[in-house]
Amino acid sequence: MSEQSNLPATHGAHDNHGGEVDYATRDERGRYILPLEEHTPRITDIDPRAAKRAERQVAWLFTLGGACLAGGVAAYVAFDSRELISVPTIGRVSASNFWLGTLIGLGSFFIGAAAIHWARRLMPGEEAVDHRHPLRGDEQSRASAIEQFKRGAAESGFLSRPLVRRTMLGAMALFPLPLVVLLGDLGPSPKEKLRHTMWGDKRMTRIVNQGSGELVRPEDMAVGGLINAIPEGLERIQEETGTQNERAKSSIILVRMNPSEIKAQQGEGWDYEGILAYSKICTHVGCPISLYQQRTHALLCPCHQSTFDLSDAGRVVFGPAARHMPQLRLGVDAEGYLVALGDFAEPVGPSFWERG
Amino acid sequence: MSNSTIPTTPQGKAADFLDERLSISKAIKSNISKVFPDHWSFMLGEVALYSFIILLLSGTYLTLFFKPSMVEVIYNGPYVPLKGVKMSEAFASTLHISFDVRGGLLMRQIHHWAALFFIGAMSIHMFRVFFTGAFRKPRELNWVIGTVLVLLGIVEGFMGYSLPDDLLSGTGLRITQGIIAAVPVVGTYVSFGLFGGEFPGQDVVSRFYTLHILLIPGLILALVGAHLMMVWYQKHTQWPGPGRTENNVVGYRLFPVYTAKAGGFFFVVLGLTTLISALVTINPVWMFGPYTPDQISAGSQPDWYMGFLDGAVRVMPNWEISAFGHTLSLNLIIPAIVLPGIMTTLLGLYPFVSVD
Repeated sequence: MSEQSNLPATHGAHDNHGGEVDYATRDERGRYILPLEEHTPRITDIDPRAAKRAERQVAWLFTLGGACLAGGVAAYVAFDSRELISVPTIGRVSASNFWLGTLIGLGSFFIGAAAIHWARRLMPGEEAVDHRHPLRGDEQSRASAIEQFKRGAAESGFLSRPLVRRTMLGAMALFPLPLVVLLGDLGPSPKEKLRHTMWGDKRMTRIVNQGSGELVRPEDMAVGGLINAIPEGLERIQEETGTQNERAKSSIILVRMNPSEIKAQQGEGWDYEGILAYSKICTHVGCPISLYQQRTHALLCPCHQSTFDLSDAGRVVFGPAARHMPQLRLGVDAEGYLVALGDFAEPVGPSFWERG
Repeated sequence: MSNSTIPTTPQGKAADFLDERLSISKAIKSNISKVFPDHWSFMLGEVALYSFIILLLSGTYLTLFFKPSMVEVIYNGPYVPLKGVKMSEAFASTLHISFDVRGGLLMRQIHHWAALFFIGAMSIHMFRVFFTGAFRKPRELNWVIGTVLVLLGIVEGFMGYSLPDDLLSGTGLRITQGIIAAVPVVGTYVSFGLFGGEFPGQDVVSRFYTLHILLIPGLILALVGAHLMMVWYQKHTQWPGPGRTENNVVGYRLFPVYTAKAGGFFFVVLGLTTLISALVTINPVWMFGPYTPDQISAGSQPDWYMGFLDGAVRVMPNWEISAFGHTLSLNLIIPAIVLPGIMTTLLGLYPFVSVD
């Protein structure tokens, strides 16, 4: 191979199958074809000392790779998973993670570098040539394929017996049906579940500060303030059901503003002395919102930047949400706790087909 | 000549054993000297392939410790800020992997970084194929497979980062639920089916887990196999140059040069992925905390490959139609369902509609 490819390339390189590749000066579309460039020997091809040096470099890289991998194993043994170390520019990190990753990573990298260096310096550096064979079958194969298929089709009677064909197609069309039907019990039927929250379970539901866990009294709230809140009894329901489903619907935010600042509400007098309760679940795709700008009364969803005006019945003022944030009607009970008087008037959270 | 094939060495006897039963000599004879063209841009597909192998290996490791369960537990591990906090078993086991298992954090970070490299490399590889026209006849079908692979990669990545059940991933699921619910007619039922009822339910993590570790990687593996077999059979494209024609392939032989180069390159990719995973923290779920539907971190963003969808959902005007007792959320259907549908259809069909 090597002596042949040292011949001037215009005389033809040799392909895989030992045949001559004829480099015409133009291809079938009339474009010029330059001959394959003559192979320029690498230093490692002509100087045995350079080859020996490359050999040592490859061996060193492999050795280094193996040593790093062994170091990785040592790091596994040496460091507890909780030990921390300070690494310049990175900070305090897990010693185990740092040393394991660094050593295994370097080990793997050196092994790869060794193999590539070996291939580039010591393995054949001359290019070889393969033919591309036409992908299309020759005429004889094509004719034979068609003939055999036709024979089989005729023997099956698929075309000559339409009764069999049609009943088979009909039956096969029904075949996917049970597979789909069997998925029916993946979940319960939605029914009216999306329309109700636990705020509607009782005539009055006390409101719990979601952060502190304490019941909210009107005097806890300063004008301009915001509290994330949940209905009393939510934790118990969460224990019982083992899901956060109710929390995903009944979380609210309470804001207090000067009653004179309230431009509109979803129901007459639904506030309590300027305290307003709105769903916390964005009507766009359901992210919980609590970015509130008290000067403008704007509530901003961090997911897709829908913005609602809480002084104006929760109206959408910006962003991709189409509907206002649902409001709860507030009051106080006999003991002076802030309560919600019934459920939201509409489903909370993202829209759905049956919502109406 | 015939004497040389009567085996005397152990390797010879082993090869003879296989050849007598599987005629491996034929397969080796016609493949071992196969010529591949050389260009840096041909390594992009290799990076994708090796990242996928790294994902299979690191993912298998993670399954040994991860518990795909949404049952609530109280965290009592070594990470002090979350001690005593209620969380799902999925999140607790993710913390366990990160803080108690030596090398667990490294494997998690390798898995996440490799997922980003996988999708990134596939995307850039696709650009290479697109801008060099390598999708043209006879390679249209392989372009279609590649398109499906990118899509499956994105879905697989999304499901993967949903599994730890942390605050960020739960927010992603919340948005997904909102988008599914927007689908006309069947949306609510599909949502209830996926989540086993209302959001977030108790089922989605274990269901995504099965899809993430079995179904989708199985499909990806099968399609990667088909993709490579087609490259092998149709032979690799090459850049124009001296001696390169439409009818030949100029480059280096599979054995030994490409065996060493490509094999070495796997270790380089593995090594660099591991080093980055050791030195650069990704997805620190312990800082986000467990998912709860009434909390969110400001500036929630998906992984970069979902960015185009999230961005489209953000910029969409808030169009929603309510009529005849039904709601059509165009603000979600258009950016999150119609747009990606059109994009992928155009992408997949491009080789068939483009003109040379």
